[in-house]
Amino acid sequence: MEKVTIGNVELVLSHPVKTEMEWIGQGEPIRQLAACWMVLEESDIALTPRIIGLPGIGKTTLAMAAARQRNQDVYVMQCTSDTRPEDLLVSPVLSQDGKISYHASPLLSAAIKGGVAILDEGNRMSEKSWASLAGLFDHRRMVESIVAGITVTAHADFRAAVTMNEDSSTFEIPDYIMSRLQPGIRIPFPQREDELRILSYSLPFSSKEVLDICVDYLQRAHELDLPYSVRDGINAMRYTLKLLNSGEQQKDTQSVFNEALKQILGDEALDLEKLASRRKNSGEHLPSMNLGDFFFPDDEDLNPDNDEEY
Amino acid sequence: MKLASEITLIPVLHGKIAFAAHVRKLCNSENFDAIAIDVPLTFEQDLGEAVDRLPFISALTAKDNEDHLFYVPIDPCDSTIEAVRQARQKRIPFHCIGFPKLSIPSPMQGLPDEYAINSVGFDTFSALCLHAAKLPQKGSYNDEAARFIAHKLLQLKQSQKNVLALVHFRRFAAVVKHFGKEETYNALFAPAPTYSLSKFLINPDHLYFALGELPFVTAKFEKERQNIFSEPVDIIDCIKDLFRETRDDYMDHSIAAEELSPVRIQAALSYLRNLTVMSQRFLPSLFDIIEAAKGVGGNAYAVRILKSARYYPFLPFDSNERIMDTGISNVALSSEVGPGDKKEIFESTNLFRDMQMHWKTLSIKPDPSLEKRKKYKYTWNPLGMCSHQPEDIRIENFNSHLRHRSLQILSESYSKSEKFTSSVKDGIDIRETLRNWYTGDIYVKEIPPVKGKIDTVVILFDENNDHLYPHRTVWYAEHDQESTLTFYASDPFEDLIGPGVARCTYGGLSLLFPPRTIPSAFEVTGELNLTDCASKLVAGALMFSREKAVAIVSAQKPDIKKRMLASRFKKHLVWIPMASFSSETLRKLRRFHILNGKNVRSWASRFIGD
Repeated sequence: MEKVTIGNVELVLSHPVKTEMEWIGQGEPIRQLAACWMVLEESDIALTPRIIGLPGIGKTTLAMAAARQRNQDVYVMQCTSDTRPEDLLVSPVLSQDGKISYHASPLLSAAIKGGVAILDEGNRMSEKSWASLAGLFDHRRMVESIVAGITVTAHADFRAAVTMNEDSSTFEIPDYIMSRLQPGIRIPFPQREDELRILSYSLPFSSKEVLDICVDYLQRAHELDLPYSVRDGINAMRYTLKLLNSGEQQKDTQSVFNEALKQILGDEALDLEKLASRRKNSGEHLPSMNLGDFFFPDDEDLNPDNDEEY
Repeated sequence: MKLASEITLIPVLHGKIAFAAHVRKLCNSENFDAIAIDVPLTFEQDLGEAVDRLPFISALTAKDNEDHLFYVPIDPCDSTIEAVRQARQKRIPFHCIGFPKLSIPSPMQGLPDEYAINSVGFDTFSALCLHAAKLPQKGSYNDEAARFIAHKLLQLKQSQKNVLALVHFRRFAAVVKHFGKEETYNALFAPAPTYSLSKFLINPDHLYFALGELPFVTAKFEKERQNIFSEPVDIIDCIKDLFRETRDDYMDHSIAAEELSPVRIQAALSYLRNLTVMSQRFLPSLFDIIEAAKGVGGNAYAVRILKSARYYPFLPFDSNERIMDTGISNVALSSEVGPGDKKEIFESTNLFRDMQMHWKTLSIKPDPSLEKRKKYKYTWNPLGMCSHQPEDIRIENFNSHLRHRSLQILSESYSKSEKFTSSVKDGIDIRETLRNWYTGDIYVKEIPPVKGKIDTVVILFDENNDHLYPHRTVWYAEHDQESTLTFYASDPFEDLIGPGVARCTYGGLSLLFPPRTIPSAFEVTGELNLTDCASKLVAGALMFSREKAVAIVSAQKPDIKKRMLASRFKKHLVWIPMASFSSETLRKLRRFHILNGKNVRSWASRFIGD
């Protein structure tokens, strides 16, 4: 265990995460995250962005991959509503010889060592916990642990990002914290080719047939603005493969996949056709609602978003 | 550079303020007899008149036999246009010396950003650009065009004593080469093809595709021209102004304005700077500007930034001119003047666009056009209204959070301290113990369990402007996990953002959980002599709540009127200050959408921004 001494207090540091995460496709979010962490001169400070997106879309993976691009260690701090300020900084632990030893959280370890800290599901934390981090994410770049009685100044290479789910509560994050967690980087659904690459990277042992069925399903769901993510696809594929290998060979792959979907995402996940027909019945042509629609709301001929060339 | 004692030759790029400002400076420091510009001779006839019409931006078009349309936008930031303006102001002649045969120019590549002129100076920058642009191949279009320009300059040399000539970087080196050759003087050129010439006013909404700078920056440059005391335009400062002014113009959405504090604007600008540096540029692209605005202020701010960025304030009041809609590689021309005219699409080339325009798709939810709003209004079925489910979930989560919090407040208010005798109860009361330190007694705290529950929560966002919230109704729960919702909100028909999707703002709401069928609070409270919506809402909540306490979230503590109302119903109000929630949370909760039937739920999220 690595130890450092700060102000006569010995701190036991957390271990960085060892996983080799790779970010596939979608260059824009990773470019944005790299821009947030870029520092142009000594007096400049790195931004601490919020990575926003549906569950399973790859928020933590993005942050880890961006950290890997920078050749920095990654420290992941899982946040919950019970996370207390001392959990975020220093926790006193009774050691074997009966003395108190001070253990630095992954966040503080990243700040000390100059790594990248990822506060996972940060929106679940209470205001009290956030308040203890205010100084770390602004120009002061320092944090104070009441428990250990020390003040830690962050390493110049320290970077942080907070992942947030859209579905859980963000009621407790006050304005003064939100102003420090800027900007927000939203991860959209991947394109078909990217989705296929992600799935085959995650499940390299899968057959092409299952892969294609899953990608078709996910792309159809994205078209209908349904919140089914790559993670749901991976789970469904994994379960399908297990079912196929455990005596369901007589059934065709599509029906096994449907069964897996039903068990993982519920009955409504198989209602895509119904949803699609509802849209069709409404008789509305639904535009894509992109940048080009802003310039050419009524003119499809000039709209560059309607042109594959650009 | 001095090409001859009579000719000052400078290289230029189109549509860039840095070059236009340099030309203006040059014209103000020296007296030229004539000005020569590298604009095709084809446009010479109409150019002066079009420039005189500035600040109204028009385009001169030339259509060839194959219906391909070439156009020259009269861009105030273009150095050649600035040169013509200077010539008109100083009453000296100008000459278009560009090759009259039109061709699609190949995009310039690998040029440094012109913002570097501020640091390295015009001459060093030009040298770098000329190095990057290279000499055109012998016999190529640009070489032939350069020979034509050199020929014209030699002619001008005979008649004028001091000529300022502007030549594009593509042809500059070749012009210098040909100028020194004897055969250039006597060169013969094939007659130019005939073109069908016209002039159009450029659709103000499409100026972004025609101009070299953002329309917002172009407007700043034009304003600088109109005020002799103004500072020279700096594009980076203009971008800062764009973010700041857009925030300040947020008059219609005061909640959103509050949250865009200077710190946030600063974060947006730092983020934008980093994105620009990552693209290896000095000046940000529109894509990055919108991305930075969206990251910090959400969809609404990004859309407003986009509106400001494309806004050019100088528009003719009553124009009978034909309008040209401009895209990236095509234009739409109206055959006649007036609304409802039919438009014809042509492939087109903007002769003043030096770099290739890259279009990247960005997911943004623009507000619909007036035409579409009318259509949405017309097709709205008054019998079908329902909620947007993600917002239901959000408000229900908030409701349960508020009920939990108000119970905490209640239990804290009932806590009491007493001297320690045999049990420490709910812990030692340090404050009370210290207060009575001199007695030597220890005090313990007892927090009794709260009797009853909270079933009704009232949230009052705005208590004073009832006229803004004419939509007052009750929504009954669709299932047993949803509350009965009574609210007053803005008129849904005023803001239709998609087919069957209306955007509204709550003035106030009350949530009753578990759900029950109750009459509208705005109707049954008629006999209580209540005048404002907030009081009626509170009265309704007190009337239908089955518990002793009703939670109320408001900016101010409930006034005496509301407290008396509560005591009349033998209940009391538990106040939770509005300020204890972030403005972003409140903004998200306050903005909601009404859908025209359950079918609309399948596509509503496509039109609803964050």
